[in-house]
Amino acid sequence: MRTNLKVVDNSGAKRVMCIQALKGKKGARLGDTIIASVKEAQPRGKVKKGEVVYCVVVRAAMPRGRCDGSEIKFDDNAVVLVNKQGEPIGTRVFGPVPHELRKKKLVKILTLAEHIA
Amino acid sequence: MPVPLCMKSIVASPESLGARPLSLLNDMRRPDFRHSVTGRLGPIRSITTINGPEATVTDGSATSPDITMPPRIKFKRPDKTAKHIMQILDKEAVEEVRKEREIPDIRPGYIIQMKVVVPENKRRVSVLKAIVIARRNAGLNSTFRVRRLVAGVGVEAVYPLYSPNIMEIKVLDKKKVRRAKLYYLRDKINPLKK
Repeated sequence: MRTNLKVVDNSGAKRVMCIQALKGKKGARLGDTIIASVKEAQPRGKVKKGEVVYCVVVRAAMPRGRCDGSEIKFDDNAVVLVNKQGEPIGTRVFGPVPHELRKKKLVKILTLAEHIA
Repeated sequence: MPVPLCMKSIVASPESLGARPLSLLNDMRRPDFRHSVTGRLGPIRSITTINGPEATVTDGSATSPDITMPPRIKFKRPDKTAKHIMQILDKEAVEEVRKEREIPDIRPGYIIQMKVVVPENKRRVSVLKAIVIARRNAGLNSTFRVRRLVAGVGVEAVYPLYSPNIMEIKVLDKKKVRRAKLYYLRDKINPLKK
């Protein structure tokens, strides 16, 4: 709630603010989907300022534990805009994405990503 | 011969007053372990073998010539004994892993290249070139923190040192640092891995 996140695809938005975490009482973590409101957008993009969109968290500064005992954490909080089915609105994803997306069946974002961390 | 594995056996019962205190680790699977614990000179203070009265008497009578006085039963508190046992078990597990794989010494400030098998991917991530910024020693659960720049974004990861997923670790360079934990590197965004 109220977390400002960076958008790392080319859907037109620059910053979004989280308004609801879809799964989990304690909030969304790396790899979860959230509902967010677009706070800042590029002038000619697919989304406009003030729109309510679904997003997937691809980078989080909170460490996320993996099943083999390792942990991973990124330096910033970033998000990719998706539609309700989980397919990304944009056509490119910048920066690294974690492996956790594969388990959540968000394969399209993984294929578009530059690097899978 | 029964294998006692419960804590109750440490407490000296009245009938074992003349004999040595019972042991927790009469583990028949590892006969050599017994020797490592009982191979010290002098009476063992905490745990001994449970071989039977004839063996313990020969162990004790070698050092205490006075047979009329019963030998002093000295044994540690149960929690101290348990900690000692856990330490030994931990060291054994570490040695077992070290025998299979060669794990170099990793200290903060080293630049390492590691090959990790990612379970989600089932493929190797080679060339994980990163700088070690912290190391936590906890026996088998020793972990080390590693920081790298991936596609313009800093990524930190924590790995267990003796994890079977780490295929290989190679030390590329050693930087001179004056700290054990290099968390100040998070503020620096020098791409030259400083």
